[in-house]
Amino acid sequence: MGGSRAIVRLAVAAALVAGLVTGRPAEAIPVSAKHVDVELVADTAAAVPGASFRLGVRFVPEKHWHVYWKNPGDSGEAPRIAWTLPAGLTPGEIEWPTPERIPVGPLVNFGFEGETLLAAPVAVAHDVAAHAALDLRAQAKWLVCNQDECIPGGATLALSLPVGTVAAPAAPAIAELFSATHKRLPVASPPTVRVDATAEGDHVQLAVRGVALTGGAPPFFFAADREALDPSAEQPVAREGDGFLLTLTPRTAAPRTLAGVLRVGDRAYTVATPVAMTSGSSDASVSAIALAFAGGLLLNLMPCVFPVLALKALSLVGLSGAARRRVRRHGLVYAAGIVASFWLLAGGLLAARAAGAELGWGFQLQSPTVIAALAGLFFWMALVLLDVSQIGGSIMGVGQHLTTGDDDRAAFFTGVLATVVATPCTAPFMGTAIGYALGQPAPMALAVFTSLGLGLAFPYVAVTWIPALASKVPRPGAWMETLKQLLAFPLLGTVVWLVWIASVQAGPQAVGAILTGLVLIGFAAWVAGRFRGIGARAAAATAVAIAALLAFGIRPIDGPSAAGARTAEGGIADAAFEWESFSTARIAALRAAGRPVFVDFTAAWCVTCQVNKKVALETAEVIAKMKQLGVVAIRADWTRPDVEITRALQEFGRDGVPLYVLYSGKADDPPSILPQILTPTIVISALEKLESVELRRSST
Amino acid sequence: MKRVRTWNRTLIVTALAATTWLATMPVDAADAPKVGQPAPSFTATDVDGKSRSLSEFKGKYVVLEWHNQSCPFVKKHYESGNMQKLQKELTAKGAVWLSVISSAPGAQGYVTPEQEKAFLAAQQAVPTTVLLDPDGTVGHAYGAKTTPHMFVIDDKGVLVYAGAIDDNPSSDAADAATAKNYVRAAYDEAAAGKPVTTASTAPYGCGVKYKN
Repeated sequence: MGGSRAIVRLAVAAALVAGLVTGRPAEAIPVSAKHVDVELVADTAAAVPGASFRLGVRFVPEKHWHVYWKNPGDSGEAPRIAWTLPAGLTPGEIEWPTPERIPVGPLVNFGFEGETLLAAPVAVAHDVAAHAALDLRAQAKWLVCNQDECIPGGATLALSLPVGTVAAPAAPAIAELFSATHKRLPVASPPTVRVDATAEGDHVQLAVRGVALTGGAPPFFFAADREALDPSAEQPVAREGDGFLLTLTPRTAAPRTLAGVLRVGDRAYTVATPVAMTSGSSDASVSAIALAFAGGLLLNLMPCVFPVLALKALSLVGLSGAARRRVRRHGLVYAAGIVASFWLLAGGLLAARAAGAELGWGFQLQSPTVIAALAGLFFWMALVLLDVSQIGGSIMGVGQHLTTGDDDRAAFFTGVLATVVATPCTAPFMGTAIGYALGQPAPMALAVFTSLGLGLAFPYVAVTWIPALASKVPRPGAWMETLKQLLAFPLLGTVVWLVWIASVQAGPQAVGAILTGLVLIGFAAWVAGRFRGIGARAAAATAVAIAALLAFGIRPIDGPSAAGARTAEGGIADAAFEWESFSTARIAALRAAGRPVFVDFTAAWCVTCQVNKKVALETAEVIAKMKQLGVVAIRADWTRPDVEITRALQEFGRDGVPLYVLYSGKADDPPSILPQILTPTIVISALEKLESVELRRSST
Repeated sequence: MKRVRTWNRTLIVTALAATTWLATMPVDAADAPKVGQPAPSFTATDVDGKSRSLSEFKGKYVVLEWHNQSCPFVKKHYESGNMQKLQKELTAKGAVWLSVISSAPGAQGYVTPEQEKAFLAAQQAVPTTVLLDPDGTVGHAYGAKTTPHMFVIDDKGVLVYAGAIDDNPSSDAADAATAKNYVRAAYDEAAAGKPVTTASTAPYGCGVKYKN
């Protein structure tokens, strides 16, 4: 290596001398290392202030020797390039050409045989002085291998580039190299091409649509992450529809996301897609249906639903013999009410989707009118529980014996009510299942929603059908009255929360309108409970009608999310920590600049989101860690409808919030997705993973 | 109130059962052998000409290190003293360290017993012994891909770690000191009776020079 170092010194000296002489074209001296020649080259003979050019390291390995891609495959090591550029020059990420698959015995490497250029765009600031020559340096380290051995190498490469007012063509051979390399770069797939990944058993199926298979080399997917796939595994291909299926083999478990390059014939596309998980050997739909059922079950425990269901269970107290048969029927009709309501919701959602609206679960809560109506409903339910009103008490099963002729209707509407009160809540698992369902044909979507409804209905139906469970329901007594009244308070708490959401969505006017509406509902309940007769009923109805009119009159206001995002120049490390508003372009720019980015997809009406914010995201320790690592924090606020955010959620296969995404500072790394329930430890360990990558990079 | 709680508990238990069922859905790899399963048995000749097999080390932790003294990635860990340090540390704790050479005759890394002994002496390396596997039998049984490729087998003969030696896949000796060593972490956790956090990683290094 001593020889090559001397050559490097010579090269640097020569470059420096060249730099002093203005008006001379770009000059670099190639370094001859063992089995490979290495040289720093630019695609222009003059750097133009305010423009950009490409700077690259050219590798020319001997015949049968190769250097590596960013994921070297089974063995080997990617070349590393550290730029040292004068002030005013900002390098971007290296643009890796599409690699070749290089078998070495039983192993497979990803790399390049023959002349290869690893280039990066370099932005030249406006204020770079003309007439000066730029001293460009690159510290390159590489591993060059053939079938038998590997030789590590390293050199400091230099290039002197004059500053000019117009770009001058590079030497023909170099210009040709840049143009040939450009053709070897993978490109973003056109909108007609669709790539989806699904984990199936031991494999990941990559479904590619909109690409015709042509002759030549079979298609191959190069994963960007070393850990993701087994490099030496065959990738069997099967034609399907207007595309094909590629069967990939993970190294261990199926990765959450797949990023890399898909080579098809003489084209190559960059791919980044989440991997849909399925249940073992069966397909994704079974998993979504199971998740929906689990989500429905858990909904029973949510604060908005639990009071209603607890009371339903209490209504079973003390029933015997003949009543028991009625109760069974009651349970089934209740389930039917729930499922029918979910179908209605699903139908509405699918119809709106078909009409082109950008909707997701929780969309109903983006309307302040719906929020106001729910607040009214919960307030009324609380009044019923507190014995201010009896109207509609049968639906909630309060103080009724299930012997009247209205049995079925009451049971059915209890199911409807359970669904309506469940809408502000999203239980764990539900988001994933519904996100999947909405991307599927209608029958599948309905199956998922049905499963969700059955999950919600299950505990009550179980109690009505299994005598052993029913016998566990306690004996009636005064405690029932106490418990009933106590359960009014979680509902009142829910009202407070809904009013707060409306204040975020629609401002103080909305709060005034809703609170007035609540007073009117309270008045109606009182009148109806206190007096009998047509006059009392008319007064109550009028009060409720006015409350409804007030709810319809509420209009959302434009919030701070309409304000522009902060400019790229704002230094986070020095400024006080603040959350930026969501913008796809901003995230792309930050990632291109090598900045790590954390995105919080949230909404004021999402309880889980609010809890996560308080207990994890906005704790001092998490903020300190983000500051320390220079993470740019972005908040995607979905409280009001937002097409850009809806699309971003869909890209992650989600249809609702919360969603937490962490991009490392490296453009090619797939983003990591944090769990839906956060603790400071979860966030910090995710950030620390980033840190170890960061340290590793700076130590090389 | 007591019975309400029972009802409630039934609900929670049902939900948890559903969750558990979902969480245990199998997602397996194709590579043999699998972490968590019994390590493949083997018999090979060591540098002293003695026949050694995995069964003789039953009751002890065994570390397997795929080795090729000419590979830059192996040199990285020996020239930095990183490998010797780990060998000393783990064998002092009672583990057995077997370096395995699967290079075919004529291929890079193939050595005679004398050449390997000279290497061990020069590097002050202290594996329990070095196994010569010119046919690649042991290498193929474990699916060893690179030098180094590391495996940790626990005292019950179960494979508890397979993969890279550390988390920095470079050939630069300076990186050995700052990287997180997966083998040490796996041994420490397994020996303390804990599950191994990182039990399977992508190995890095030179390809094993198997017989064609």
